[in-house]
Amino acid sequence: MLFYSFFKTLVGKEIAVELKNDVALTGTLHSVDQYLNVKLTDVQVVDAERYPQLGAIKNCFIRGSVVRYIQIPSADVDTELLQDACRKESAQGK
Amino acid sequence: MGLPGMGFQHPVPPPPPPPAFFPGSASLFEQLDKRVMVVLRDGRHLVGVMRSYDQFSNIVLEDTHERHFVRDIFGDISLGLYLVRGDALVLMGELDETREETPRLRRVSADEIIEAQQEASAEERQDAKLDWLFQDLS
Amino acid sequence: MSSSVEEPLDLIRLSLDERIHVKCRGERELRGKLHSYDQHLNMVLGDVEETVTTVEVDEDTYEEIVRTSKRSIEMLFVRGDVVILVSPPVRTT
Repeated sequence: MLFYSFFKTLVGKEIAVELKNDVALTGTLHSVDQYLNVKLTDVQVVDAERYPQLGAIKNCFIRGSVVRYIQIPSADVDTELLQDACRKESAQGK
Repeated sequence: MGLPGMGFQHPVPPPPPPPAFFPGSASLFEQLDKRVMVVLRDGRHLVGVMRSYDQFSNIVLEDTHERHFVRDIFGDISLGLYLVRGDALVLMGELDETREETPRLRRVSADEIIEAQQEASAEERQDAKLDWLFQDLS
Repeated sequence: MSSSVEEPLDLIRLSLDERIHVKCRGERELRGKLHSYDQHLNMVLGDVEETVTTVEVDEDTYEEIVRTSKRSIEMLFVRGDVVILVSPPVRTT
């Protein structure tokens, strides 16, 4: 649940999702679920010249399992809080 | 006095919202009955109306077309009613029909796109699909 | 809170707030500060440098040409299913 909660705090922020096939999309995080599926609004494909196929989409559901990375602005992350939550969660798992 | 056949109808409560529909949860609910573009792991692009989904992201697509791209043109080949397995799904985007055609991407008929694909070199034909292909399928 | 190392994930817990080296599928390596992880090895890394290595074979000489490309990312979520290994950065002394 740690990263599900983490991404819920990033709803409304601009993120870049890089898929395992190297395609990258930027957009505003609209929602996330327990599988870390994400929904983006105002979505754009990075390198739209190479990937024109998605020019007409308004918003986008991305399956969590196809994601490699998600880039986040560091200003939107409270790293101390995140580390603390991580320690708590790893302690609970025992 | 409430006996069967007397015609007394209890009011039906409204159905509860689908379990996935909670604030903050990435739901496919908002794309129900909308025209969407679905990208699959093998690089295919499908368009259709999303009629249902489940917790595995399996979806039913009505009036499905496979969208083929060659250089600056695209065309749709009709496929019918599809059940797409969730683990083959990469992404699903709601289509803005006013933006499908652009100065750089023109729609052509199904026959034209098939012809264009046959004329295109073997590499060109594979380009659009390969770009989107996930390595573990190659 | 347990501070003994009992299972492999405990080793990763010791690296929280430290710089680590992550090897990922697709000939990729990441070096960054570990801010969080979970049992799937999903992670958030800060101040990351990604190195992608490609090997080309010259058609004529059959020579292997190794190329690397790097990029810097300030904050990165990494999905656990691409992670191969996690370790403290290699020490040179």
